[in-house]
Amino acid sequence: MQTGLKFSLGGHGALILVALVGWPFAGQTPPEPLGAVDVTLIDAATLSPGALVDTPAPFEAASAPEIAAAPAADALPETPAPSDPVPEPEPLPEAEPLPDLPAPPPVDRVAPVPQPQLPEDLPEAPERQEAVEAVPEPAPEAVEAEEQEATAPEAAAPEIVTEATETALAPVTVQVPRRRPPQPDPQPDPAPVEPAPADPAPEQPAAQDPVAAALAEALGTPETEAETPTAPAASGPPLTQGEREGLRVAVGQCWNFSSLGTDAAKVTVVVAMEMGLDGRPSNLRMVSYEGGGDTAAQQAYETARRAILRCQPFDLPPEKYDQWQTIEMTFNPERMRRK
Amino acid sequence: MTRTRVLAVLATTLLALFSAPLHAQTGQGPLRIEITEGVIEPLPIAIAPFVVEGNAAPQLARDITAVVASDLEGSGLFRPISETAFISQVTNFNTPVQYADWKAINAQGLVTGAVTVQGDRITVKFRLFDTFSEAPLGEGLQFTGTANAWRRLGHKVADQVYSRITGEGGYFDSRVVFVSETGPKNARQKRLAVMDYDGENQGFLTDSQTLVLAPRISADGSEVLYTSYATGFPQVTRLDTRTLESRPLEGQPEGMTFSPRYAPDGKSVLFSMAVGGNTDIYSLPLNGGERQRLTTAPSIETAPSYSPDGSQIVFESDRSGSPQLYVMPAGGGEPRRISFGQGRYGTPVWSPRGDLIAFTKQNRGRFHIGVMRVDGSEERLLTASFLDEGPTWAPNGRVVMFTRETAGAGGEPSLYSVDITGRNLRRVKTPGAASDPAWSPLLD
Repeated sequence: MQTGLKFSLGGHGALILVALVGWPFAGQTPPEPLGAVDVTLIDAATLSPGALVDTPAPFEAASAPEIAAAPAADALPETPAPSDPVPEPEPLPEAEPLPDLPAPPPVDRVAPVPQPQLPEDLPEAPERQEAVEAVPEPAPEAVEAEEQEATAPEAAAPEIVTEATETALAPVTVQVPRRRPPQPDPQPDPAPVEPAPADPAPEQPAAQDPVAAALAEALGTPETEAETPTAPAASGPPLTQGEREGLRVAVGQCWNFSSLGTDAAKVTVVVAMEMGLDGRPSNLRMVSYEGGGDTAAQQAYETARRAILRCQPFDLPPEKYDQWQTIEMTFNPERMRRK
Repeated sequence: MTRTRVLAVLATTLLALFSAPLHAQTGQGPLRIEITEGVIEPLPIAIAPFVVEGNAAPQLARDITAVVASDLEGSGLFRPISETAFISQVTNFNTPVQYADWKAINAQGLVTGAVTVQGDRITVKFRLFDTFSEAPLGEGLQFTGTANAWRRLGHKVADQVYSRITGEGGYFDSRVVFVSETGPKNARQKRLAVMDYDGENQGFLTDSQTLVLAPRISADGSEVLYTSYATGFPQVTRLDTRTLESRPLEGQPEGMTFSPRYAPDGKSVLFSMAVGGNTDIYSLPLNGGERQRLTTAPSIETAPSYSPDGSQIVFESDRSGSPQLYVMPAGGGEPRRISFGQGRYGTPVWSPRGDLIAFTKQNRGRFHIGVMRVDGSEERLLTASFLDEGPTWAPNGRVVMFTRETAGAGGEPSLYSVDITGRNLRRVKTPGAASDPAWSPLLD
C-alpha cells in the first residue's frame, strides 16, 4: 500500500508538474502561432497614424463626408482666396552674401599685443581646481554632469571679478613671469622629486617667456625656443602617472565635443606644441590626423586647439621641464562619440 | 690591409653602437598623451549687440541680434552669454576686438555685426572671432535683403557662425511645410501651412475644406506635393506655392496614390499607389515622362525616399510579415532589408548627408524616432513617447523634426526637433496643433 501510494503520489506529482511547467519537449513550437498572430495584426495602418495617413484604406470612410461638404470643383477656386495665405512669406531673394568685407588686418595686429596674458589667470583658476577634483574620474557620467555645472559659474564668476582684478593683477604678473609653485598634485607624487639637478636652460625661457610666447604666436617661429634647451638638458625624472593624468584631465575638461561636426567628430588629431616653463604652450600645430578628410581634420584641430588654449597654463612640475618641453596630444574622439 | 679594414669596420660599428643611446638621451622626445575624455556642453559664445549704422532703427538691430542668438542657442550646440556679463561693448564694427575681455567671460567665440538701412533694403554685416586663438574665424560677410526679410538676414548670419564653428552646413535659413490642425480630435480640420524653421512667418497654403496629409516641399520651395482627399480618395497633388493653385499629379489615372516624395534633383517624384488591393512604389518624371513601377511584391510597399545622390530608394514593406525598411536601386530591383531590430519600422527618410536613415519605430506600445546607418547598422533611438512619428531632416542632416502626439481624447499633435545625438529635444513653436512636418533645403 505504501509503495502504491508512493507511485500514485509520484505519478500525480509528475502530471501536475507537467501541467504547470509544460512538457519540456513541446516547448519549441508555441512561438510560431504567436508570430502568425503578430502578422495578422500588423498592417501599415496600425504602425502609426502617419502611416495611416499614407495608407488609403482607413481613410476612405473617414473622408467620405468631407467630399459631400466640399465638392472638389469648389475647392480649387476657393483656395487662392482663403483667409490670409501669405503664400511665400519669403519675398526676399536678395539675401546674397557679399564677401566685400575683408576682415581688416588691424584687428589681428592690434589685439594680441597689449594684454593677452593677464586676465586669464583669474577666470581659469577655478577651472583647474575643478580639474584636480575631477581626477579620480571613475564614472564618466558623473564627470560630465559636474562639468556641465561647472561651466555656468565660469562665465558668471569672471564678470564680477575681472575688471577690478585685471588692473590690480596686471603689474604683478608682468613682474613675476616666473611660474608659481605648482599646485598640489591630484595624486601625491610617488617619485621623490630630486631638486632639478642642473636646468639652467629652462630658466632662460621662463624669463623670456611672455614675450617669447607673444612673439611665437605673432611670428610663428618659436623653433628657436625649442632648440635652446635640447643641448644642455639633463633629462629629469619622468612624469608620474598622476601628473600625466592631471594634464589629460585639464585638457579634456576644455575639450568641448558638442560643437564638432559629424565628420570632424570622427577624426583623431595629434597636436604638437612647445611649452614654456610657465606651462603655456606655443607653436601649436597639427602633426597628423586620421579618420576623415582635410576639412574635417581642420575642424577637429581647431576644437583641440581651443581646448588647449582655454585650459592653459598647464600645471606641470618645472623640475621635469625636460620631459614636457614638447608635448604631443592625441585627441581621440572615439569614446566621446558614443556618449 | 685587411686588418686595418676590419679595424675600421669595428671602430665604426662600435661608434655607432655607443652613439645611438647617447643620441637617444639627448634628443628628448615629446611628451605624448592621449585625450579621450572631453565634455559635451553648449559652446559659450558672445553675440555682441549689432551696431546701428546710419539711420537704421536700433530696435531692428536688436531684433536681428536676437534672431542670431536664438538660432544658435536653439541648436543646442551654443550658449549665448548674457549681455550683462560683457566686459567690453562693441560700439564700432571696425574697432579691433579686445580678446582678453571676451576670454575673461569664457566666450569661445565672438560675433559682431552691424545693421544698415537704405530705403527698403537692410544690410547686415558680421564677423566671427575665435577668442582663444585671438583670430577671426573666416572673413567678414554681409547680407542684403528687403525690409520684411530681416529675420532671414539673422538666420543667414547664424548659419555662417554655425558652420564655421562646427564644420557642417547650417539649417536656420529654411522653411517647414506642415499640416496645421484645428478642432476636436474627431472632427479635425487640416490645412497645409508653411513657416520658417523656428515657427515664425506662418502662412496657409490651402483652406480647411479638404483633408490634406503628408506634404513635401520641393528643393527650390516653389512647389509642394501632398496627399489630398478632395476627390474622396487619396490623390497625390501638386501645389504651386506662389499662386496657391493645386492640381493632381499627372499619370495616376487608376487607384489611390499617396506618400509622395521628390527626387533630389526635383525632376521626378516617387509615390505609392494601391491598385486592386496591392500597394507598390512608382516613379514619375515631372516633365511628362512615363510612370515606372519599381516594386511588384504582393505586400504593401510604401513611404519611399531617395538617397541624396538619387541612386537608391529606402522604403517600408511588410513582405516579411511586419513592416520593415528596405533599400533598392532607384530604378527598381531586388530590395535589401536593413532593419532587423525588435518592433515595426516605418516612414524611412534618407539624410541629406547620405549617411543615415531616420525612421519611426514602434515597439512594445511605444513610438520612437531613430536613425541608423544606410546598411542598417548602428541603430539609435532618439526619442520615446506615446506617439512619435514621421521624421524629416534639417538641411544639414544634423537635426530631425517629427510629430509627437499626446495620449487621450484631448491629445494633440505638435512638432518637435531633436539632434541626431538624441540631445536637445525641443518643441517647435506653432500657433496650434501641427503634424507632418517637411523641412525644406536651405533657402538661397
